[in-house]
Amino acid sequence: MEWFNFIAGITINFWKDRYIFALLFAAALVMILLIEKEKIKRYTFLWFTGIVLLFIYNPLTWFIANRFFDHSAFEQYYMRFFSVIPVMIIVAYGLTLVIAKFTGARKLVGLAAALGIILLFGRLVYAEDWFTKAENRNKVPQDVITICDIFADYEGDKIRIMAPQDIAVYLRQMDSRFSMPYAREPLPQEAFELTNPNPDTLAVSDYCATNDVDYVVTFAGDEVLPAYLDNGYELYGRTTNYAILKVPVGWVLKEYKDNANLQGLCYTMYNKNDGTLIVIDGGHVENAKYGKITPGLREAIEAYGGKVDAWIITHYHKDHVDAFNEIYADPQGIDIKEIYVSPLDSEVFYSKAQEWDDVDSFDRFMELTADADNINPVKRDDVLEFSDGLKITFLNSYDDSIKDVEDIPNNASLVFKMETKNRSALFCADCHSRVMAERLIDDYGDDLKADILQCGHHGNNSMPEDTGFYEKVSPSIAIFDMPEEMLTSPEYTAGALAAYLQKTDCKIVWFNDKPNGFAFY
Amino acid sequence: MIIIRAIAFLLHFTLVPVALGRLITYKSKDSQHHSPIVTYILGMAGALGIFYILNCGFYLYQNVTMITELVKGGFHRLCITYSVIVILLVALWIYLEIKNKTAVKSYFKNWFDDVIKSFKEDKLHIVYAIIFIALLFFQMYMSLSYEINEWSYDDYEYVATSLDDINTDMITNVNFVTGEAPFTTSKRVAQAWTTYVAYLSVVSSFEVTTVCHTILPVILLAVAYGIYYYIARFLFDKSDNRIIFMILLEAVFIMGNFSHYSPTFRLLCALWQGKAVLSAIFIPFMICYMVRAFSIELSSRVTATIAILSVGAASLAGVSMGLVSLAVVGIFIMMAVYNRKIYGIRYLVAGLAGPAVQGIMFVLSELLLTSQWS
Repeated sequence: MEWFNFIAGITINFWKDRYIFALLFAAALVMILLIEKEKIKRYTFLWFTGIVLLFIYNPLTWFIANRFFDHSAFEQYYMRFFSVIPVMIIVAYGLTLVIAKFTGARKLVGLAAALGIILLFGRLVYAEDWFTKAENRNKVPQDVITICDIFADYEGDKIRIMAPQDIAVYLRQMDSRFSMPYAREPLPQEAFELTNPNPDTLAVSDYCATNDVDYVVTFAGDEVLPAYLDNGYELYGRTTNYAILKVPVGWVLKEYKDNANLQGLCYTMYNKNDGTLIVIDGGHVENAKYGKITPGLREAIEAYGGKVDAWIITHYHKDHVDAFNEIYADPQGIDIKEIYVSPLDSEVFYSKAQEWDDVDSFDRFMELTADADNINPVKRDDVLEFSDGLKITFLNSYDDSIKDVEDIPNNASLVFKMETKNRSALFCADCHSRVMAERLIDDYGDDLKADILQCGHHGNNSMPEDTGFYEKVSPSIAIFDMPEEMLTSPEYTAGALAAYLQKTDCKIVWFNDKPNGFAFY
Repeated sequence: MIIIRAIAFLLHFTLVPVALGRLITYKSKDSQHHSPIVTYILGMAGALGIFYILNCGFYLYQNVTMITELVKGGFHRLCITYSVIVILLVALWIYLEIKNKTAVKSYFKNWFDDVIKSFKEDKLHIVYAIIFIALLFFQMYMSLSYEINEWSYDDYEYVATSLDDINTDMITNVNFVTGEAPFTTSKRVAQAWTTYVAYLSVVSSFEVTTVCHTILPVILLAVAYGIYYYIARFLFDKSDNRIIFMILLEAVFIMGNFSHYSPTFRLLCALWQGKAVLSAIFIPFMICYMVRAFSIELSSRVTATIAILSVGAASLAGVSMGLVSLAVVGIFIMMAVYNRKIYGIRYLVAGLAGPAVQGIMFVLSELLLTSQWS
């Protein structure tokens, strides 16, 4: 049945709009059978066609092809077998055999009648609305030519750009320097924002941050273009229908997947304007090794210039600090300026540590940084200020006021709010319990409001929902630092929190092969 | 300079196929090989076949030696090597023709005399000829001046791949979306048409888009109708019937746009794509040529020409392996029935030479993909 449906489907697809043409083809085959006297000619176009049709309409062919062809385009590939059948030659051959029966002027009349039949049965290709006069010798949209002209003097090997699909598929035909994150389906939702009359420009900015895109092409209409210009995009050039905009340059926050394929916390915050780099935690030790497929943290730092201006260690569990320990022990050229930590001393840590707490990671950190002069213990309400208005305010750190709180190794995490003019993010690290949620609400109230929430304890056994914590933060994006399989697993509670947040129109983000990017400017 | 380059481009569709075709059919006693169209197509297949083999060699060298750094220079070396080989072959042909002065003259004269004679016999021939030529020019004009005004991902992928070959000086080694290298897909590596288009672009100095979208469709349309005329000669003895067949064929192509899978779409809208050249030009020719070859006494020279044709056809697209095999095996089975015996196994093997080369390239590129950069 599956085979039958498939075969019926491709037959319909092949003849699509003109089944009557199929009739003409069949009639031509009958004419060849009845009129053609020469065996070799009959064989060439009648029986050869029969053999090919037998091959195509054969369950065995379908079964074998199913094993070999790419399933996403199986029908498309299978239909190419039709191109072995000389359909048009057969139709012309059949009609000519009939006309050849006449002589003189009658033959001419026969030709006219045959042409009439073809006109009646056929469909004129040149009358299709997609067949139009060429705008230029390249036969690409004139807007594309103009975009290429605008970038003619661009001094760089790569022009990282995103564009609406009907432009994207032409750009690299004209200039190899264009580098795009997509070109065909499935298109990212952000691609549609480029032509959306009411665009989500921040979503596009985040997409650009994730994919290192420097320019976007949008509709130049009255609704689309002003929305982008009002949100920090800069006009780089215009064509008749499109605008080329420079993506706002500022800080880019990136969340990296953990190369141990486990939950872990690893972020960078990089200022594209002056090269300032902040690293938050770093995840498991695997992140400090050179990745074969997914570049690790070490490669990311090297790509940003190899200098870390500030490294924030939220706490001392291995999924947070081991990559730091590895890089600190063997920097291989990486220069770490300042390190910010929660001042949890050994005595407290050992007295509170449970069997699951990573004593080795803590010990190694302490051992490595024992003589370091760039370790900065952080207190609550400490503020760090960086270039282009980036401010980090610490809302939690270890101090005596929390010494009796449960799960100190986690709840003593640095909690901090990171903000620029356009955006803010609240990092909860592994801080997670009810008492901590209530304490943060009591102490900071509306100041907890943030556009992005890094969910405490990776979203597992996190701040309880009934504390009102999430209503106070009211994030539009919530980050769960874990792989998708953990987020969707019933063994973890993160999925329930994600579902709760989704009800408030909050976008849920988890590990991606490419680091998730967020634009701050 | 522009004119010289334009001429150099045109020579690849005029002098080069004729020269190579004449070398392939030189001193052949087979009557088929006395046809200018057969000579031309065999020459074209020969040129494409040489390019394909070189392309495979340079590609494999490029990717086998590419361990930690990109290996560049393969594309321009391929272009130079191919050009030198073609120049040498053309020189050899000229030498042979000079030695045998009357050959070319008599070759074309016989064909021309036939046409004139048929016109004299029946005045309506002129009417048919005018209709045919008018429709042909109409199609060529539309191919030149009009475009498909909707995006095609195939179009994008092929053109971008050709352009990347030129700009990176590597052979099929760039991601056509991101522009990053290395990037290999077996189906692109198993064909050479995109690289050949890049070569034509370099020779002519026209942009790849212009070569693909504007120039090739016009030239290849004329080549396609040459093939159809060869088929007309096979099907009909009387010349008026041949021209009527050609007129009707033009009409069904123009009116035959029943879907994007129709031969019309391939011939009149996207003829520059390798798979369109394969289905509109090479497969119809192979069917007719091989049937005629199977129907007469087997010959080693014809075996060689079938192999050349097959390799040339395989160079055009990743689907060649399936489509050429289907056509060749279909013809073999049909002719076995026709002859009431298994006949011409050597032609079958020769016809599968192209798919075999492509199959080897598929396997080798897959092996390279699994071992490279690991």
